[in-house]
Formats: sequence, C-alpha cells, structure tokens
Amino acid sequence: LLYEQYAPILQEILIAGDIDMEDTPSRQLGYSLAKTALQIGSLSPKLKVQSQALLIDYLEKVRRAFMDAIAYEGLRS
Amino acid sequence: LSDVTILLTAILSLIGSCEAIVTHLETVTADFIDRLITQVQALVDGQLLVGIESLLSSINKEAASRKSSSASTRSHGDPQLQYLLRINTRYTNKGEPLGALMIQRLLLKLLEHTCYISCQTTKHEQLGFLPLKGFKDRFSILSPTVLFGISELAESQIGSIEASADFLKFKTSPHQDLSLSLKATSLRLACITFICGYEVNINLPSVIKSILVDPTQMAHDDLGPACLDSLAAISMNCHEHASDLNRSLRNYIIHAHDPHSTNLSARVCIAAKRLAWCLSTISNDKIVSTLYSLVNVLTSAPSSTNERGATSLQPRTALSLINFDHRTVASSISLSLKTEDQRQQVFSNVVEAIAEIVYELKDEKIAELMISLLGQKFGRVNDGVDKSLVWGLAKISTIVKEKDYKRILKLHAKVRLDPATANTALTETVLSLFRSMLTIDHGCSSVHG
Repeated sequence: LLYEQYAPILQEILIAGDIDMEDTPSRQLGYSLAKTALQIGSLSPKLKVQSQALLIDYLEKVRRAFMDAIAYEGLRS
Repeated sequence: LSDVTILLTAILSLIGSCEAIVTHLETVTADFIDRLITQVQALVDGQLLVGIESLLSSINKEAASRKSSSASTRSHGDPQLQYLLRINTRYTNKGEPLGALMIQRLLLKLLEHTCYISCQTTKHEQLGFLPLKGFKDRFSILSPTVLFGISELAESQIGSIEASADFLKFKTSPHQDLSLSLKATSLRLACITFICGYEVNINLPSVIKSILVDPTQMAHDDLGPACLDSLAAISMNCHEHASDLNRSLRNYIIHAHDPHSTNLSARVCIAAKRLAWCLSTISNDKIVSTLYSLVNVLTSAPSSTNERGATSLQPRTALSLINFDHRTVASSISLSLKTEDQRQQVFSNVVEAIAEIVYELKDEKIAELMISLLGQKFGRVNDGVDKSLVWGLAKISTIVKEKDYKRILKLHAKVRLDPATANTALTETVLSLFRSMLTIDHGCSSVHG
C-alpha cells in the first residue's frame, strides 16, 4: 500500500539514481522525505528553520515508534 | 501492525533518512545541533537499545524454533512481517544487522557530519575531520553545551564497545564491522572534544594506543585511519602528549604486521604522513632524529645471519648541512623479531615510511640527507631491502631537484651493475620503476631524456 501511494515520488528518486532499487519502501521513503525536507529548506531561511525542526521531530517520532514496539512486546509477553 | 513490524520499519526508515541528511544537509541552523544532541542521547539510551535487542532476539528465537518444529509463529499469516524478516536476514548477511548497533552508528555518523558542517569556515573546503592544521580553532566554534553533549555521547559509545571487546575479536561476528565503525566515529568525536578542552572520563590517549597495537582494529577501513588521525590531532594540539604519541606512532610504523591484511602498506603510508605532520610541528631536529632512528632499523639484523655486514651510519656532512647536532640522534630501535618474514615486513615498513615522510615534508635538505642515508644501505642488508630502497628512492625522486634526481639514477645504475647487489629480481624492479617514472610529470625532461 505504501509503495503504491508514494510510487510517483519514489519513481522520481529512482530515476535520479539516488538509492538502491532493491531497497525496502520504508528506507526509500525515509530517504525521499528527508531529502525533500532539506531541499525545501534551502529555499529560504525561514523554511530552513522549519525543515530542520521537522527532521528533529521526525527523530522523536522514530524514538516513539521504538518505544511503542517495545511496549507492545512487553504487553504481549 | 505487530511490534516487530513497527520496529523494523522504523529502523529502515531511520537508515534512509540519515543517509539523506548526511548527503544533502549543507548548512545548519544555530539550534539544530543542540536539539540533535538531545534527540540522539534519547535514541541511544541504554534501556531503549536493550529493549530493541531483546525484541529482535525473541523473533530470531522464534524463527529458529520454526525451523525445528511446526509451531506457529508471529509471522505466520503476516506477509508484511515475513517480508521484513527476510530483509532483516539480508542485512545481517551483509554484515549490517538491523538492531541497536546499527541505530547507534547511524546517529553518531549523523552527529559527526553535523559537527563538520557547523565548523565549516568556507563552503568549498573539504568537509571532515582533516585537515589538522587549525583543528582546535575550527572546532572551538561549537558551544560548550554542544561540546559537553558530544563528549558524553562519544565516551558512552566507546565505553560500551570496549565492554564487548572480547566478543568483537571474532571476525565471524556480524557485529564486528558495525561496532568498529561506530568506534571510529566515536573516537573522532571524542578527539574533537578532548582537544577543545572537554576531558572525558576515559583516557583517550590510552584508548588510541590500545587500538594502535591491535592488528584487528587497525586493519578496519574506518577505525585504522580514525585512530591515526586522532593520534596526530592530539599530538599536534596537546603538547604534553606529543612525545609519547609520536613514539607510539613510530613504533606502529615499524612493527605493523598483519599477514591477513591487504591494506597494510597503505596504512603504514597513512601513519607515516601523520608522523610527518606531528614532527614538523616540533622541530627539524626532531624530524631528522626520527628519520635517522628509522634508517638505523635497517641495520638491526644480527651480523651472524647477515653476510653483507650491516654498518651504522654517520652522515656528518649531510647532517651539518641542516645544522643538526648528530649527538642528539635517537638510538637505534631494538627489534625482537621471531621470523625472517617479520624482519622483512619491518624493513619494508621502514623504507616505505621514510619515503612517505620525506615526500610529505618536501624539504630539499632532508630529502638530500635521506638519499644519502638510504643510498648507503644498498647491498648492506638483504635483497628485499634493496628492492624496497629502489621504490622508496623513486618516491623521494619525485620531489627533489635535478641534481639529486641524477644522484638517485646513479644509485640505481650502481645497484644494477655492482656484483654485490645485482640480481635479476632487482634489475626487474629497477626497470619497472623506470617505466613508471616515465609517466611522472617530473619537470626534469633533460634527465628523462
């Protein structure tokens, strides 16, 4: 589902040769989103602040995902 | 989504985004690195990483029990999870298992890259740990809070890797490459904060020296150069450690050996280049005394096994040219070698290092002195040394004036014609050397002619 949803973006990145075609959709998506955020950030100083704040928020989301996974495992066992 | 699916998807997404940030981040806002350190600290928290590893090991155990019995597992009937588990196996087979170490390495690399970007003075300069000239000033731009945060992170990472050092000695461990790469990044970060005055609880010079004497760690493509770079950076910026670290570096050059390594010669050259940088921050006398002690290693073979009879050198004329007091020359280094192969490796390392140091310094008088000293070694040690000398002098010849270049050519001719040194193998070496020299744009067309 994810792959289909983001196919146009991914296709563009694959054509640019930035990433390995055999890689997982999650990795490709992470790469394209971060790259896009940085590209948008290069347009103006204000956007730069916002895009870099977005990357920090993203790291926080990853941390929460880790915590959720561990908590889920704890509940399950 | 199951717990393992969430975890593996998040790790894979983190890999992709960190790669993109390292590749495409060009400038950073003032508070980005501050906030990044806080996030990285939270993500490499010990309890969190233990939880991740325990979850992954539970799924690996299930996979193992599935092979031995028909018991149902979590992945049964979940194609997405089955797919992710196959991906996990693929990463493990590549030597990059998805797990705590991978997360630590990604985040520390990201932090390191952000550090370099924050301290970049001009947009076009090379981005990285090097150059070591102006190193302290470059990284002192970082705020005290950032430097303190980095020192804490680097220290905790090095500490955790050191704690599992025994386990990591086995090359079969899929974690070895990851952890040594993480150690390399942490070492560079710890070195930056150490030089900027943030002493970490670990004794960094001791950690560096312990890596230097471990062939497994030095053979690693990332950790070996990181160790040599960090050593040179500390030696050049913290004078109280200079003589101790320079001695360790010189000893590494002499004794470096690893029969399984294919990059030993390149590593010795990297070490020699760093030794040249370190010595040139002290004095010319120090450079010459170190080179002299290296040359004297070539005479260390016991005379009973050496029919050619090695002699000690007293190049007074050459030394006087650069106003050098030969009484301060370092004593020759004692070698306790077991086999002829080891002895040959030492000789090869020494000649290679001398050539690299002279090449790096590009000082005519030092080059002249070394041509004189090395020239006297032809036919005095053994055939292997003669071949190394040919290549060593060839390297030096690329930086000397026409007069010295002619001298080297005469030496080569003498080696080929003198009955004491001439042999087929050496003649072939000299001929192949001349062929390769013709491709060098030396600017001495009359000599080439």
